[in-house]
Amino acid sequence: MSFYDPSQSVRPKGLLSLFHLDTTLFLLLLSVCACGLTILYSASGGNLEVVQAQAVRMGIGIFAMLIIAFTPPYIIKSLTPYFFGISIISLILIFFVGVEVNGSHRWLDLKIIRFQPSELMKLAAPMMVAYYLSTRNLPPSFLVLITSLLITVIPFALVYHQPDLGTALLILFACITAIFFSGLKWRYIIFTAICVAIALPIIWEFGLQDYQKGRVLTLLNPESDPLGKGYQIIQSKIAIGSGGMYGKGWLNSTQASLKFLPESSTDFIYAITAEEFGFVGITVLLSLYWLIILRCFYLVNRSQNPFNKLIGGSITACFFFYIFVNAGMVSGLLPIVGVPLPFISYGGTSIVTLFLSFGIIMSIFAHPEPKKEKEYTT
Amino acid sequence: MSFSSKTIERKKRSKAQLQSVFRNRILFMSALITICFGLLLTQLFNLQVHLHNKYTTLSDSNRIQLIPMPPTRGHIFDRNGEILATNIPSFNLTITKQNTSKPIDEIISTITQWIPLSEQEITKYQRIDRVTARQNPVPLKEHLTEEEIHILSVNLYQLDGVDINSQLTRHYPEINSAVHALGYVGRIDSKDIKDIEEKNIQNQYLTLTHIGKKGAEKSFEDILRGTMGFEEVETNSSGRVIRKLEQTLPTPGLDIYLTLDIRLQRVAEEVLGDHTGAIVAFEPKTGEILAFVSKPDYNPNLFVNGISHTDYNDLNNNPEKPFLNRVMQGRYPPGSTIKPQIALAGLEKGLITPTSTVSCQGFYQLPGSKHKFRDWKRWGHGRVNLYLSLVQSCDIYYYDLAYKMGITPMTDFLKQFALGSPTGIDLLGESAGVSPTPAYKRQSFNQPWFDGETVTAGIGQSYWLATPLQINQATTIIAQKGKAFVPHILKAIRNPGTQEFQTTQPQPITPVTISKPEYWQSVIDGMVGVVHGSQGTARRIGTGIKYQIAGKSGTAQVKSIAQNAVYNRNALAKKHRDHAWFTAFAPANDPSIVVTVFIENGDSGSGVAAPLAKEVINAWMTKFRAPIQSPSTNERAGE
Repeated sequence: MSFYDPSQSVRPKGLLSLFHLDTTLFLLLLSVCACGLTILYSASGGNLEVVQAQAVRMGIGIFAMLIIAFTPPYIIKSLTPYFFGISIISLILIFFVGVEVNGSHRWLDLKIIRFQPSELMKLAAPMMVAYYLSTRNLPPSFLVLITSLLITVIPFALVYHQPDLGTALLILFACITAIFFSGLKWRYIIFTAICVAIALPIIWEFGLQDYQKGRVLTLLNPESDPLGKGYQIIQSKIAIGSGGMYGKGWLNSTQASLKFLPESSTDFIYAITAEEFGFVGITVLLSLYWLIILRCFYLVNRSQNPFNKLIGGSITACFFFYIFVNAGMVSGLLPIVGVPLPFISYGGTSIVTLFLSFGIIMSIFAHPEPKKEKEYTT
Repeated sequence: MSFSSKTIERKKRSKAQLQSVFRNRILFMSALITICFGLLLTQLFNLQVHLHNKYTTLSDSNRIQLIPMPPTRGHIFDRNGEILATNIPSFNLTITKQNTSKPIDEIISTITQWIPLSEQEITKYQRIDRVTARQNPVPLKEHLTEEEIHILSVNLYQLDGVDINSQLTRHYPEINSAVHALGYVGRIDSKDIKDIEEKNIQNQYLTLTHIGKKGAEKSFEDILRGTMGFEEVETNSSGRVIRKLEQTLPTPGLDIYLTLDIRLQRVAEEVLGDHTGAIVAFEPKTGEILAFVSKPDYNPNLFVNGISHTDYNDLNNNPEKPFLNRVMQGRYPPGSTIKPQIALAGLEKGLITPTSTVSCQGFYQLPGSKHKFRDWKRWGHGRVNLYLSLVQSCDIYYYDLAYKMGITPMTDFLKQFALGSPTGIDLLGESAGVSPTPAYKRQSFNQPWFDGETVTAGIGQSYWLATPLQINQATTIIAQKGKAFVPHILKAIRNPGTQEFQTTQPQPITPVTISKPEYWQSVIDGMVGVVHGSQGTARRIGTGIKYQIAGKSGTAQVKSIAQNAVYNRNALAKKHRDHAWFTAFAPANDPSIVVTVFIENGDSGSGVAAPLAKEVINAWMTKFRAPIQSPSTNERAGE
């Protein structure tokens, strides 16, 4: 009954350990980014400017990831409450000085840069939950659980009111996975599942906006409204289905180049990937994602520190959540929720946030705790 | 120390426990995530492999549009290659909404400054615009004049999306001539759409706007129409054409040659003049229709682009019914014109012989009845044999014959002569006429048959109704001694591309056989006597010709005349006056034309109709009989 694990004392290894990066994970991320730029070139209709802008963002993201990777996890942990605080304040600020785009207040204009605080909150909220839980005895007691849920619900409610259901759900998911990894008792999980099952019809009746209901209804039967709500789903399924086993080939997507599929370079880029590269190509992409997730879990599992474990697990699960929601939505399994496909979809803030989160994973990898570390006793 | 070591021990245990809990949770999560990836792949497999064909089709139908290319309609020529129907270019002013840069109202008001636009044209534009896609041009003004085209082409650069489009319009250069045979094309209406759907040829009408409505244009629609061509283009989601993929050119419609001789047609129309009636002429050796006149007529060009309400009402409310195709749809009592056929029936059934006689005292009575069936000649014709009965058109002879024969044997025999049965002409909409049978009376009036009706049926009255076409066919069958052909108007079909001709083969009718073939000649002799005999009813037309005409006049009662009363032309309203018939063929020994003239309420067959028939026959015999040239060598045919 020894808790001695040789891996825990081993210093970070690998080609890129000098840069505090895990070689395997970094190469996987680079491959996905390369795929992303290739697909984006086609999905944007051969627009090199778009691809360049995306590449620049990736560069910025990788740089930010390096900075985070060099930062030891305990510093990240100690900064968490401030980060969370700033995020909450900017979310509240949005209601007063936010820029309205498409009927929702999501953007905060800081003159120099325009950004979405909700995007930061996707990282800040699970970090705060992890921070809180790691300072308590684990598995969490009921009281601790309630407090963590409170930390979850406040940003969730703020983002949900923008309204931005997609991001709100991501925040909720991120926090809940953090709580899950902390060793939440199964009976609570089962109890919650039952409660959700009961609450769903009630939320349906009173909690959802008409456009959100429409999205769900359209998902169930897209053909009912082929020119309205169902148009995107039908067109994206046509794109995916017409790709077949080997795809139409790069730059040969007809659905995107002829503008049948709207938002083909952002939320619906998955469909274009499937159309151009077929079942084989999309399987390769999904495998890359899957390997990234498994690698992250492996790295996180090696860490001793509860905060590291919780935030690392949550980030990884969130990464998966992005993929699953986007791919599920585009292929008609889930309702249309505005969630980008990580590293592939065109879009600024989301890429940087993603690299930031992977920076935390890298930091966890690069800073294995000495055996005598006594953080858990706090 | 022991406390602290215990605490450390507990915390170490707790940490180890946490470690294992976390590992389990990670494993659980990994499994869940793997399952979800499996789910995504399953859905992808379903869409991309299982339903691949369905979505490929959908994808292609998304981007590939078939743009139909309408074929050019075939021309119509007469037997000598004279153009009866052709296509001429016409120019329309159209607006394509997608390309406009100003509001439509502003565009229209700008155009009004250049050329006049009627309120009607603007409303019509708005109506069509509402149901047309943005990228398709909608006509604002049709048939621009030269002057309007000049003004517009100088100014149109100021307006985007407004263009002058040319299109081919059907044109009938002979105007009113032969309109009932030729028919016309008009815009496809809901009734046509129903017909098209019934025949399941919607594909052939995708962008065609016109369809044959009447006459040859309708009857030979499938020949004239041609085959729709297609242009396969790739379009984007707003319908704009990105590039052409493939194109199948339309096959133009085939040209057709009618059997009509437009020169004879013009002569016939001229001689009929302002009479309401019909003239039809056959070439008996083939059944070709040489002339097909129904009066009053109308201008088919009015219908091509939608007739105006005023014009239509004028035609439709005309009491003389110009739309009625009197040749094959007008049903009239045939009167004495069918006496030759009834005589043949009597000969064939052995009721009379060429030499047997009947005494005519001006009236006929059925046994045991006081009712007097009068002859047209008050004092009768004395003793009449077959020859005299035809020459003088003695009614008593046929009253007696009909009564002896009985109604059904008579009508059955006459059916062979297309009396009471359709001739089978290749134009659509032929009327079958009516045979006076007890069954017909029962069905139409729910009344029993009277013998008296059999008697009057013997002179083509009673319930007899026949079209001029049927009468002409009945005469043709006699002229040809039983071996005639189905009347037809389609002479040949020409492929405009290869100039290949395909001539319609005349279709023989079921031959009428008579046990003693010399009976044919007996009847023909009687008909020759009508024109050339000293007592012939139409003897006035028998002069000044080098050949013999065999004919039969008919003066059919429209209103029955009371017992002992006398027909008084002036006392009767025009619509109750007798119909005038004359049917004839010439030369009698080797017929080359059969003509039937019918004049509605024309009074006297021999007096009014017969001279017209002679004019037509004479024009044919002396001027038009020899073909000027075969259509295949005709230069104008290519126009």
